[in-house]
Amino acid sequence: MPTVYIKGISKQYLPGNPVLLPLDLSVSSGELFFLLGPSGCGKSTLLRIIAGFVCPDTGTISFDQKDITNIPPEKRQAAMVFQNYALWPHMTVYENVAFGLEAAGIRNPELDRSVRTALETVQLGDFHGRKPTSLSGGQQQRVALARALAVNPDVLLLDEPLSNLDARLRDSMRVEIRRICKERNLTAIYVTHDRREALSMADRIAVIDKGMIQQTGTPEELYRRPANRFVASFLGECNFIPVTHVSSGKNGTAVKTSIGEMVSASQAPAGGSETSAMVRPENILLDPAEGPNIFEAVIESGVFLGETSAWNINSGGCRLAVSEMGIRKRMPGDKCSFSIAPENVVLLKC
Amino acid sequence: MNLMRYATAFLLLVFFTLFLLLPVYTVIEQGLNARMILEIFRSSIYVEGMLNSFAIAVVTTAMVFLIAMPLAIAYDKFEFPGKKLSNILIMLPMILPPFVGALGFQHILGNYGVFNTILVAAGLPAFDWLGGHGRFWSVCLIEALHLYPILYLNLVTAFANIDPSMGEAGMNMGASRWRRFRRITLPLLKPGMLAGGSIVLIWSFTELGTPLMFGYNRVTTVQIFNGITELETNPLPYSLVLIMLVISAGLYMLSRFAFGGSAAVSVTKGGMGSSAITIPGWKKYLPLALLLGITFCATMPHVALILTAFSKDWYGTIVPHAYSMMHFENALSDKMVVPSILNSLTYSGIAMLFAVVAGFMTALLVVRWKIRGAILFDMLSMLPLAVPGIIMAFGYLSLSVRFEWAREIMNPITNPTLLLAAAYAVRRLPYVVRAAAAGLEQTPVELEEAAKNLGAGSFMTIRRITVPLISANIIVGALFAFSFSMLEVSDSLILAQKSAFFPITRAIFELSQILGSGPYIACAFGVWAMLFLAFTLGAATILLGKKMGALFRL
Repeated sequence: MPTVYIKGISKQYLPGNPVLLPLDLSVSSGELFFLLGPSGCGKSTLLRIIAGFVCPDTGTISFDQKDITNIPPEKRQAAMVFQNYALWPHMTVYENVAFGLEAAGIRNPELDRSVRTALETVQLGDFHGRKPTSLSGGQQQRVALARALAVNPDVLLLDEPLSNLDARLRDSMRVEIRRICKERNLTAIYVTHDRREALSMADRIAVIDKGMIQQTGTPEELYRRPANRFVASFLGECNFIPVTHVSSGKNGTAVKTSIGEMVSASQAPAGGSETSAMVRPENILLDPAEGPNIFEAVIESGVFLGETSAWNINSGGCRLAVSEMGIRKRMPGDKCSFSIAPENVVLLKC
Repeated sequence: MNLMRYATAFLLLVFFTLFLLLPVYTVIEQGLNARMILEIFRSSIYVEGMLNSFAIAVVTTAMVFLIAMPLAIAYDKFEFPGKKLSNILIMLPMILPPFVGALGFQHILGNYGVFNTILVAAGLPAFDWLGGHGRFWSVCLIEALHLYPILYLNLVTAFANIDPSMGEAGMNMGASRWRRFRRITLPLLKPGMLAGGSIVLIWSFTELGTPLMFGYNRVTTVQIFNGITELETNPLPYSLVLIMLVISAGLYMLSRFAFGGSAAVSVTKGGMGSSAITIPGWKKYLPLALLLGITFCATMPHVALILTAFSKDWYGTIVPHAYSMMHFENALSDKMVVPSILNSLTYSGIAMLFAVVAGFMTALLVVRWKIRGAILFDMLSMLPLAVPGIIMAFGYLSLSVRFEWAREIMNPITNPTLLLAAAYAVRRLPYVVRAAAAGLEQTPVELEEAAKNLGAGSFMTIRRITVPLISANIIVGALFAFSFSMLEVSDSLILAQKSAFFPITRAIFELSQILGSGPYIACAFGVWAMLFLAFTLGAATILLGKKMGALFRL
């Protein structure tokens, strides 16, 4: 499977309103790579540029050493699973899956064997003669996947393929898609706005906003060490504590904040501009026995969520969200203490 | 891929230039003669003709509104028995060109026709319905009874696009029924009213067949038609055609740009779905009664045509006193009839092919490929709506006079096949483009992208995905092009000049002019034509359902 190189790709439809600013990216062979971002960030445009449906204004796309920027979509070997599946309603499931093989000039018995294999891969071996309209959303999604897999693509492109499914089906399809990609060692590029989908499935993720790549990395890197406020908040709930002074020390970076002095394991952001300390709600430990970065707070409000409780606490005029495991009875106005491990304090530009 | 797109655009451009722009240009070139134009405006006969044409257009359009608006309101606001039937009943008037209907109408309104027979039987004096002003009103009435479905279909679609919650919001604020209609419904209906209304206005302004059949000669179109025979010595009809073109184009522009641009558009469409209510008691039959009453009036020419065709002789009685198949037999044995059917089939078959290929290619260029300048093709394909049939026909005629090469291949005297087929195709092109474009717009582009993505080339994608997916629309477009070509009037009357090349409509006209049994044979022939168009329109209605209205919009 090829490595995909994206170099200096940019696109704008209206003057002065760029959809994609020049960006570089590489997706390794056999990697399940995610483009994650909010609606309108340019991620689908980038995927459509890779598929060949949209011409970039600048830049090149290569599969290994082969520049495919000017190759028409039908000659790219980059099969796509569309958001609305794009199954042809006038053809049966079998005909849908066979179409790409026919276009490639493959005839029976190889055609038949490939179609059956593709349908069995997605566990739809008995649905040959059905029309797409008689299938459930999940089954349609599987046919779309089988259709893309049948042509043995160099690169598999997936455009929010699970967004039309209900939550339970989505969970099982995540596992399924990842299994198939890994079994076949496919180079796959997957577009989504759902952070859970990206975090649970990806080998690596590129977070995109306003046509720019904000950060690229493994799910854990992005979640634990976000590069900026946008990445931090897009990947999960977080608290931003304003920092008034920063100084480097032996055990990390010492920062003065409105709730008191604390130590962070991360480096202060370059550029010396205003800084804030980012802390995830689940990394705030209430009523700790001991440890660094211990502060006092008052409970403001809280809700019980089942396996966790979500509290809003106030410390030195700064309101923080806290996620606490288990059931613990606390009342608004109760005093409490809390601690944050230095490795969970991430210093970011404001 | 781009090569294929630009090659398609080039072919279309050649087609439009040859069969649309060049004829219009020739008319303008030949007619732009200050002396002639002055002469026309100085002549009381021509000025009266223009005023009459304009009056016919205005009165017909007003009548169409009076008929179609209550029908559309009844359809939108009420549930009533037989509502589903209305889709078919509404299309009935369209199955007969009004000039053939006029043939039947003469038996109703003639001096010894049905109305006068009833008047005399009631002890009242007979009235000359077709003389003096009666002729004007008869022409307007018969055109209105033919054209109201066009406005009705537009209005029903426009009503369907108004979210019922808009009216509910008005009700909620205490507005009365009339106030809600005037302040909310009417402004939101404006696009549909303008679209349907302007087609009716231009159509009735340039209608040739009906006034011709009633012998109403002080009408511009008839004056142009009568001038063709002496065209070599008197080029005045060219200038008349030019004036007509300017007025038609003005009306079209006025409706499309001046009003259309500022028309209110409902932001939310469909919304909560239909808000139609069921009236309790016997009143629930009122909308049906209205529908049946109007349909009865609209189909009177058809009924009269059928009765005339089957009658031995019909004179001074309400219905014929004896029936016979004689006229049908005579129609088939007439030396003009069978060749004219074959001619019409040939012309219409080729026209259908032209229209479907050009229409589908235009829709692809405009809706899918969106190449630079695609808007030009959209405008060109809609131009025949603003350039009436009689002007186009005159343009074709003048082509062979003006250009040497055209005299060879497009001479109506040696062989008008290509000319008539192209003329028919161009006239119906807007409907085919609309049908194909509607199909493409309703088909997600991803379905075609998915095919390309899996390695299918442009041609394979069109053949295996695009065409099958919009086949219903293409079939409807083809049916429309074919069936309306079979009954096209202006082009047929002007361009078919030798009896060997007469199509059906021209043959009906010629037969109707023969004294004695001529009109009866013409009626029998008209019945065949009517059945034919009824079948194709019925098929189109079933295939396209409620979307039928989309075909008759600007």
